Amino acid sequence: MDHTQSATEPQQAGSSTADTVLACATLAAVPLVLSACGGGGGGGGGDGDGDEPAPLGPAITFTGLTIAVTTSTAAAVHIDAVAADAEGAAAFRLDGGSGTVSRPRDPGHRQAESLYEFAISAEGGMGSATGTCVVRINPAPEDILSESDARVLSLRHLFNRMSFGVGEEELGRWLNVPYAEAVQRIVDAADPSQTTQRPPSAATFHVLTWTEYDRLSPAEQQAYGDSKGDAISGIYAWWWREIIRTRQPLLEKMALFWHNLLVVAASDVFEPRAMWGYLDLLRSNALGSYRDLILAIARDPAMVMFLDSNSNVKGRPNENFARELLELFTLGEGHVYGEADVVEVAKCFTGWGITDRQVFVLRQDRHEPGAKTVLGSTISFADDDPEQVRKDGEAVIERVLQESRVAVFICEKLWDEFVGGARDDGMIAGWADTFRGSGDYDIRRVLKDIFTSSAFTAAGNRGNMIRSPVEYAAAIFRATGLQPGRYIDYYWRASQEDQALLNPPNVRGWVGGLQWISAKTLLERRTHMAWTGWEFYNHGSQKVPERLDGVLELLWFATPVAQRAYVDDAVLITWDPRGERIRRLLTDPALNCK
Amino acid sequence: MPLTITSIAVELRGAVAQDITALEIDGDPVAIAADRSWRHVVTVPPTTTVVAVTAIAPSRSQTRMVEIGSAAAPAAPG
Repeated sequence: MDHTQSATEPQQAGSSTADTVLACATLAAVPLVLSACGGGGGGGGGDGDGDEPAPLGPAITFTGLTIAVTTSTAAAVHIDAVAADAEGAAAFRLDGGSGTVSRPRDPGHRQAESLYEFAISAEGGMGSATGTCVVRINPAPEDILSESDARVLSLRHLFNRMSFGVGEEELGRWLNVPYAEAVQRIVDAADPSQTTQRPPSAATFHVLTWTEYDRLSPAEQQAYGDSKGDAISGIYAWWWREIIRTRQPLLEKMALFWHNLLVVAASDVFEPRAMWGYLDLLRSNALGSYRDLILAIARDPAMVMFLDSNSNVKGRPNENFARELLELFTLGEGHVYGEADVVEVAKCFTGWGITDRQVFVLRQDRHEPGAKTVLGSTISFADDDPEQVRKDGEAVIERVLQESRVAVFICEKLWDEFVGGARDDGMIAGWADTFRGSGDYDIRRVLKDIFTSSAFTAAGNRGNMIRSPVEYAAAIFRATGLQPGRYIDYYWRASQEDQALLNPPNVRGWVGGLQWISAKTLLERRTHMAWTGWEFYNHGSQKVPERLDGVLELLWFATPVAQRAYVDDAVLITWDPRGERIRRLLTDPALNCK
Repeated sequence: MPLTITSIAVELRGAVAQDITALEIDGDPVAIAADRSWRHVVTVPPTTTVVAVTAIAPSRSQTRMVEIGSAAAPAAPG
């Protein structure tokens, strides 16, 4: 018969860990800022936009534990020389102990581990027994997250593709959760309203009309232009910061994916409020309905400006948006539609424009009257219907979305993004059925199919895609929990590697893949690796929490294991082994792949 | 029948910060008391187990790990 009950004593709260903010001045690169504990707030850096919230205390503290021992027969139990109660239990504070008796303690988030072994003895009429209970708080990731563990490898692959790399915390969180359940929960939980920062100043930028602008002096016009540039830079920094700090990276990854499909370039539009609205639209709809996303992008002021939709008017249709809608957003070049369809779609969108204040507007007086024939279907609303301008545009979108090709087109793009390599048309067709069959082009639903598919999870599919400049930089910071001192600097670095966030090179977006390691971009990446390596090296030489002194180990842990070419310590004969190891790790192909 | 230790259980206790709205342990929700405290019982296996404690707030989340293990020596007759 078992004898088990437990009782506890009142416990004191564990000690808190003060946030630590450090800055490293480096020769030619930006300072890194360390934010310890909390995972949010408390850090320095930033660029003025997206103000830092007040520092937060430790999210989790361990205050105590009770060990309860069950014996086969009645026995007097001692746990670490403390007599257990009648139920075989003894309680301990996690305060490091007192007197000559040491106790485990909570070292705090990301601090060195605290290990303690409780000796257990039981004495009873039927003999005696001994045992040990070991409690280790903050075990090192390389100890508990064994690379030979299939769960770790599959989780790391998932985060390398659907996120921007992964650190020990995220992996640890999902370690004991079944893979399919983890996918479902991660996809379902992403919430665009949950950001780590307030919107940038661009969100409330005052837009001057052309009349107001013409009344300004040359100096005032210059100042207005400069303020627009500053506000737009604030958007770049905001998104970089969100990508690196978000706790729902899938949402940012999908926003980036849609940005590369529904392209608008900030350098062309150069209007802060409109560009912020565009980014906000992408993020708000990133995991919703693709139908809603297309309807929204057709009305987006930044898109209107980018594709000159204001000049698409009765008698003089501008085909830009119509062509992009069919060729780049829904069907793909050479599929289903013809040139006549482009013209007719353009007519449907005549009168869709923006006001002087860059607010979307429907102008019936600029709308092409009459019926339009698109993809063999007639769209016809009465010419005296004041809503014809709206109805024609919405109806043509609905007509295009009826084509089965739309779901296939988007799923092909999703394959290229998340799986890579030669497409499996049969599997893509299955995903497309899910996407289309959801009734609303449900993005979350098809992503769940993708992340649990055999193509995605195959072991041979791991670590064989090249990280983009944004992904590479974000992976380093997300893996280590460090932050750049100035996020805008990473915008400029990535732009030198041909990925200027919010400024794709053309309407077709970034090609990706080997483009990221061309003769030019590889040299730029190599230079930036060296800067980052120098920053990390200096970080290790400062007084940082002991766990984070192992920046190298954290990075090493975050890299796909299969393709590492990293050189063993034994062959590094240099006066600066740590710096050299950091440099080699950052240049290792494995860290550059996902 | 000789005396043996048949099982060991560890009740972990802790606290969460004021902004934390949810707590999970290995993916399962754990109640947060009014005083911000929480508790969770782990049955200790013969080897080791790792428990992931995740606190979730609107602007942050944090996961901390605890490794728990045990070993029992062979029973001695009374």
